[in-house]
Amino acid sequence: MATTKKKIVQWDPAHVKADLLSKYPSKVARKRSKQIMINEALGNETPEITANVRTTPGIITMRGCTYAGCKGVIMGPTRDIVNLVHGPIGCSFYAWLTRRNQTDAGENGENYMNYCFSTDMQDSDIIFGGEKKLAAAIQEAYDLFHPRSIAVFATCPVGLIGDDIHTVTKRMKEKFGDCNVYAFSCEGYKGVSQSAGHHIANNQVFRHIVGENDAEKPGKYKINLLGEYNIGGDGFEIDRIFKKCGITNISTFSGNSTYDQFASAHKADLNAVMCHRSINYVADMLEVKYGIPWIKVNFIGADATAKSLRKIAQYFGDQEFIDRVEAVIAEEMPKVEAARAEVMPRTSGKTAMMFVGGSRAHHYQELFKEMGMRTISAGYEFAHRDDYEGRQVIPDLKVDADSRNIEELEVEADATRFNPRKSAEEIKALEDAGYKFKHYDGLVPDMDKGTLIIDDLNQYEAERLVELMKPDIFCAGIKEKYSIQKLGVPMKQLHSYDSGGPYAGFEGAINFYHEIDRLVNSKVWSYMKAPWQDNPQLSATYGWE
Amino acid sequence: MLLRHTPKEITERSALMINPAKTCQPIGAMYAALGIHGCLPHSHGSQGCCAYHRSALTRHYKEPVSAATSSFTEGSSVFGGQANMLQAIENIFAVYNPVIIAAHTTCLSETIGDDLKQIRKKALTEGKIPEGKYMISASTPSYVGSHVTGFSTMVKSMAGLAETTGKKNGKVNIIPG
Repeated sequence: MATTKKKIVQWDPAHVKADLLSKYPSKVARKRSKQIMINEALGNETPEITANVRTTPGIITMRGCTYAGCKGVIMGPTRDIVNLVHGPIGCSFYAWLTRRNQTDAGENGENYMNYCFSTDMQDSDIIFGGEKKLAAAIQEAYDLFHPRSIAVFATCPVGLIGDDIHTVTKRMKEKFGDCNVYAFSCEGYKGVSQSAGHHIANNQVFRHIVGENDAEKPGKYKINLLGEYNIGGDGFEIDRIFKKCGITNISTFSGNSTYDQFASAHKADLNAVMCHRSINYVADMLEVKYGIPWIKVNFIGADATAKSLRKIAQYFGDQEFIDRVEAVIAEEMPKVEAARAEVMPRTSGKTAMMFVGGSRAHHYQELFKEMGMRTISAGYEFAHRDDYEGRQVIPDLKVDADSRNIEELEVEADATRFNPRKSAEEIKALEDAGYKFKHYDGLVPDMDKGTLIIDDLNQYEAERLVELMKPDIFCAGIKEKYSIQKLGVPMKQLHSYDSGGPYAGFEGAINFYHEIDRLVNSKVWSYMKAPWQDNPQLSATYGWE
Repeated sequence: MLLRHTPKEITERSALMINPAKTCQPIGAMYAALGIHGCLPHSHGSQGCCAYHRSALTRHYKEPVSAATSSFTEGSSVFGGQANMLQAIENIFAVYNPVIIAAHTTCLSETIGDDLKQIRKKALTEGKIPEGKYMISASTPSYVGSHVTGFSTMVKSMAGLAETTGKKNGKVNIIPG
């Protein structure tokens, strides 16, 4: 019988950091050294990390472009908007059903997510301009589908040749009358990562859609869930819990969403922010314009879900509601705890690494912690300093050439619709009781001393980290998946969840425990060595010997 | 049910492309370059192009696909991507040390008029391409042709590496794509 050997890996973070930097030309090493931070766990006085800066050319980065953040991430999950990409064919093709954002097409069945729309620009369009073709394409989309709304996305060459997509869409909107048409200037070269695209998308959603529908919404406890993209059905699980608790979700930005939900977002009484990176500015704008306060929540991890539900209940302050939420938590937790008790003996003490997104590398540490696993290194692909160090650093953020060209909307209180949901005294009373509005501490305080926090990890560093620190599981995206697996370490995609999910909420936590248990305890990874890796010298004899 | 909005009657369209059965040239060029032993494909454009091509190929083949990018920003789109490309060449040989870099352009670098052949010459004179290492390039704007023409354009660049000896050896090369 095979016995399980306890693997002991010794590493010193300073040595790992020096090793990672040793291969770079000195200029690159200097820059990277500021993006690789050894966590000192000093509470609020964490050392500064450099984030949201340009990727060095030639370094195989995990990052994508502004267009990917705008069309793929933010607008992709909305089912009843025709997303028309103005540009050569590739950009639309690659963003066609490649994120696992699920949707429930509802009673009317309106769902354009399975379609790929493009103006397929050709040589002549680049030379003579593509505005006429864009107008014709919008007209054809309208005639064929009669959608509620058409969104137009710019790609790199559109920005270079100067097609005025905003004027074209404005004209088409006036012409149709019953179809909202607007455009996103999300050319791929803008900004330094997807993050710029999130900002551009959210600005336009706020400018063109939010507030369009003033009809009253039923429900006693109305909230918006911001920054939840329904990957693998996460949003469905969260909505299930909301429904059980009696919470009305007016709109999710933007998982399983519709145009009408965005249009009614100003009717909610609280904004709950999941992914701080992609959407915190929408929460701020909704507060300034309509008077809706916002709080940070996290539905990844069963304990975190319970905590977030209690936070929402405390905000409304209604005892009946608080009791109902407690009852739901009490009903859901035994199943979670049973699953946890089952996997714990096998997962406890194992180690994880994760390099994803702008919030997930933080949120998923909760789930791993619940299973007794330690995160030894983590980092974001496209986050800013406030996602690492907490919102208190926002006033000190440097505005550089790349962030300056991303529009910041100037918002003021709406003349008729501004309505503070809580009076200054009520807010103060909640804050005195320890309640935190507009608050996010970031990833750094939640990580252990001596762990490595690395921004914008690249392929070379990912492989070297795995070789040096030998984690039991590595989490990133599809591009990294197979190179990591070939090193004999299981790899879980936390962008798309491979083919799994949901991992949010209570049911999600159970799914995640079982999935990770299977991955970190499978023996198959120890067979990843090819014969010549053990014996580089192959020996043989001739047949006549 | 998936494409439930597609009308039954066929209508002619002049501008709107729906559910294309083709994609853009650069992914074909990257794919062709992946076939050379010790070759690192390089995408001269925004990060997104490279990320999308790598994801698409990785999903399809379930194998790692490595490729570098010039990581264009707004500044490089205005002032040209030469500085990015030269820096990329230096970093690629320092960190990944391939035998050959196979660079292709994108709609961005083609529209602003970057000339990879000229940049390669400059890299050679500045000693950025080490002894015994190579770089080839293909011009693959996304608004011309499709992934199929991208593949053949890169293969043509590969054939350009061959030098004639003037002697016949009775062998043939088969060049697919």
